[in-house]
Amino acid sequence: MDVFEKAIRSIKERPASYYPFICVACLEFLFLVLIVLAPRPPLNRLLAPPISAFYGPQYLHYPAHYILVAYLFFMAQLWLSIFVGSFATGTSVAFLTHTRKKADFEAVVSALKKYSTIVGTSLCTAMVLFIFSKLAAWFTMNLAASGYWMQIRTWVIPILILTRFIFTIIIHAYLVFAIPVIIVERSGIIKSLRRSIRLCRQHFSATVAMVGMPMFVLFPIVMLQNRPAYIIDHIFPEAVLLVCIANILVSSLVVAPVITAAATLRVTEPKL
Amino acid sequence: MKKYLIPITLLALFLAQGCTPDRYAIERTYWRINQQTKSILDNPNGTPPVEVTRVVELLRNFSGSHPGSKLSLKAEFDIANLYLATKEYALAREQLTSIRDRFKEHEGICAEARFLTGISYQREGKLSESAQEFTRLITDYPESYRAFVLPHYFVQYYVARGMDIEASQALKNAITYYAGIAEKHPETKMGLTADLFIAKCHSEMKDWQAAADEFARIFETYRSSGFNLEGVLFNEALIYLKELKDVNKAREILAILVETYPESRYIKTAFKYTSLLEQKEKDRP
Repeated sequence: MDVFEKAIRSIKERPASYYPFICVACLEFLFLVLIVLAPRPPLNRLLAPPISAFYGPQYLHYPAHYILVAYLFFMAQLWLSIFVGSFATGTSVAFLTHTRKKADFEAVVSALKKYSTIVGTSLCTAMVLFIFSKLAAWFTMNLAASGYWMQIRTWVIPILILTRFIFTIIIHAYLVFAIPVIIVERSGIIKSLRRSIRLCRQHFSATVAMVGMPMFVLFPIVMLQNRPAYIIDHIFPEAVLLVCIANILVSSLVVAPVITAAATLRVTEPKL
Repeated sequence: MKKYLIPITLLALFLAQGCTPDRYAIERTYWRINQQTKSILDNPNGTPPVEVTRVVELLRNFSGSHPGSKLSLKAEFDIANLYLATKEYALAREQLTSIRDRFKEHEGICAEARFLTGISYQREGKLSESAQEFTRLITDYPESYRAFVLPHYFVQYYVARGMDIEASQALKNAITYYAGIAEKHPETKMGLTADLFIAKCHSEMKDWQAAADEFARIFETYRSSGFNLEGVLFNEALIYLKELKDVNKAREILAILVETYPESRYIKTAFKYTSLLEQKEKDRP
């Protein structure tokens, strides 16, 4: 808890380190609005044909459209986190570690200089997450198909989501220091990843707790976002939109800044 | 500039949505009314009449506001279904007659309305009036989908009520009717559908041997016509396996399925069944 307190304090001391995450949240919200308004005029002229071609015309109708909203928003968030979110993290780290307070522009430039390295690291993280997510799905589905879990078949999807979530936390714990290391130590992709894994190994349980605790706040939201059909049937279709907005607020404005600040503190002050 | 940012964004979003109700907005309005209709249909006896009147009014207003939409017609049928569920048979028939009068040109719509009228008489216990309605449905709209499935509906109706004599009579009528259609349209999709309905009727009566024979005949008749008959073979194999307990015959048919349709979506299940049968044979003492 100490590390979170210090992380929040450091964000308060350097409020500029929070702005990149606000920009990411705004971008995510913009994408969400575009996806929600896609089947309606005037945006439907532009967005309805690709949706119809890739996913089928049924997703242009109410309320089936909201199933696609959840999926497309997930995809948009994924790509934004790789290409924009990682840069925002880098910029935030630069703001947090800059000694001179009025060097905002300098901090952005220093993160921009390392943009390709940051995105490369982020792509590596995404690839590892993708492989482990597929492995988790394969493992859970095979266990379910073996008949071992026959009686709790309805629990397969929640169990799968939980397994993926735990995998995500562990992988993030191993790679969470990579971007702060790139900014602070100006190192390359491989070196930063290795250093991040080493830092995590040194304080494994503390790092998992550091990544896991804020992420568990996100867990119920991710769980709901993965089941849009359930939301449509049991609540109302527009609730999918509310879940996506909650996801933006929690992931981009709470989880990401806190984890970034905590990881930066760990890199700059290893004894913490 | 900053303080105008939020109002400008909201205004832009509003303008992007447009002011006139588009197709999507109409669908949303219908969905909301439909949820209320469904809740009445789920519990028609426990719903107060005032609630039914309110929802009927909502459906009428919706239908009146969007006359060109397909959902408007759906709303009209919803009103009839609500009356049917709440045992307001006279009102249901009035509604269905009004639909028939308004959509005289559309055979399918009129046939559906006529069918529901027959159902309303049937539920009221007026069986002769119901039979009259169904006869008129077949004579007035012979090409409609409702007329096509009606003989099968009769078989289902009598089987569900355990009326064996009437059910076997209905089965005979259905087979004659569908066989007639299949004869009129040989080696066409219509003929194939009619033949499949014969097999369905046999299955409804739990005459499994007749159903399996019918599937076999369908496969032999239509295999050269280029139709996808993988479902026919799969259903035949399932009947032999689960109902007639003829494992060898089931395996033989599954082998034909695998050979004829190697890309079939049933292949995985077919292999699963075949290996299961082999395992059973091995385990046999």
